[in-house]
Amino acid sequence: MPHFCQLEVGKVTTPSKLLADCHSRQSQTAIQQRTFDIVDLPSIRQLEDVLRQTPAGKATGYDVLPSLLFRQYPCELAEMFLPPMLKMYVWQHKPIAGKGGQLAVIHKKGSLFAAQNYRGIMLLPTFTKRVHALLRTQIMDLLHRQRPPGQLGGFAHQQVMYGSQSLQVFGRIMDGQNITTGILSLDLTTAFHGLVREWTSGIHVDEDLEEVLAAMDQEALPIADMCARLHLPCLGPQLS
Amino acid sequence: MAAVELPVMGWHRHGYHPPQGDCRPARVSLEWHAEARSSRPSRRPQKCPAQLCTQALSSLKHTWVSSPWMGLDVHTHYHSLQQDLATCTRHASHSFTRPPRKQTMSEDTWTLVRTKRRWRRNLAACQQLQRKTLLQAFLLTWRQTCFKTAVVDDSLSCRIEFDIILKKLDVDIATALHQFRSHGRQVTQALRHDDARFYASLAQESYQWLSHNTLVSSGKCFEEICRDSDNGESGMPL
Repeated sequence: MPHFCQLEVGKVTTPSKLLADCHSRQSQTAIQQRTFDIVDLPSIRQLEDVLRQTPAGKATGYDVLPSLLFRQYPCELAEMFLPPMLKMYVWQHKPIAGKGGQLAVIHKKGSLFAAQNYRGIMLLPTFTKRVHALLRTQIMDLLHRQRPPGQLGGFAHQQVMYGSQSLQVFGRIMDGQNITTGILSLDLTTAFHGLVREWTSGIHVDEDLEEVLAAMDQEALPIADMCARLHLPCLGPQLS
Repeated sequence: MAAVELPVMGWHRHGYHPPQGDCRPARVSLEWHAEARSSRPSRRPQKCPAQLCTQALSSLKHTWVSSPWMGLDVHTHYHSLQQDLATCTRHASHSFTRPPRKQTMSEDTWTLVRTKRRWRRNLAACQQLQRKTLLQAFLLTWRQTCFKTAVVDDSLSCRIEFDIILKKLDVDIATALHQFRSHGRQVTQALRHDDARFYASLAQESYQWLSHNTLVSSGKCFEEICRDSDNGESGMPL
């Protein structure tokens, strides 16, 4: 249990207390956005479309509705699930059932009897996964126009091999011109799990974050104060 | 929890060897927790069947539209919606009604066919249960005869219980067989009635397209068919 607590930045609590804390925090959080454009909110057609793309037979944790149901009845279920989805978008409150679920334990390496050799995968309900897919589609539409030319990860029609071969071509061109070059590789997934998640969830500020903030000439503060100082919207309650 | 103490035995690769040097009776304590698997609560929720009942879903929509859902928080709204949708799911055999392949079959005849089909399934299930019960009774008798471990009263009570179950199954099988045959007769009569009505309407429709001689010969032929159909064999299920 301590190993998985460390992996997921978790702490021991009860479901009722977790729900009460989540609800009180969501109720006390100031409203981030008071006006919405109609195109910012997903339509029922978009919800139907994303429900129709649900893969059948996926593991869904504590969700009692199987994923095949969403694939077979997208129109009926979209009509039923549109009100809670609009609440999630407008109020920016996520139901606690969609925040987590059953932790499936997967063996990665080494001995089967050591907990350190296992990793956890959180099984979310189907509807939450489809809302994530819809939200991601909308975000990627925005990011596609704003991204720098070299940013490939996560975008459509981009492959890992294209990035690798681009770097090789770049290195050969620089070698041909007798220019010394270096490539800095950053593992953003590890960075998220080791740094950003703790920062956004407000669990703690560790030494790594202090080093990063010191390099940026910033002082380690709570998340709300940091956002106020950086003139950024507070992301903590939305991402936790 | 139970704890036992066992003497350490010198089992080696080639068998048992008495402990040498130290003749003191060494002991080891074993402890374990005994827990029945059936007493453990199931941690994984059972998934609902992937079929929706359209009638239940439409009534659920009406309920949600008429209720003030705007005041609900997202947690309650999402949980209630999921629970309500779970009650609208059905197994495929309960929600899907296949239409008849024969286009001329009336709705009443199709209802009779489905009823007869249910009784046939019921009859098959009862017969399978009877076979399994007989097999269980035979195996129990064989086990008690071979091992002689059971008390005589238990053996007698088991046989009485098996007799009661088999008697009930006999009654169920007889009822199912009677219902199956009687519905079979009704289905046969209803099908012939549907056929006669279809050919009568067909004859009425084709009356204007046929000549007088052809009409007379086909009319005679049709009358013979109807007569044979009305006086045909009855009681044979289709």
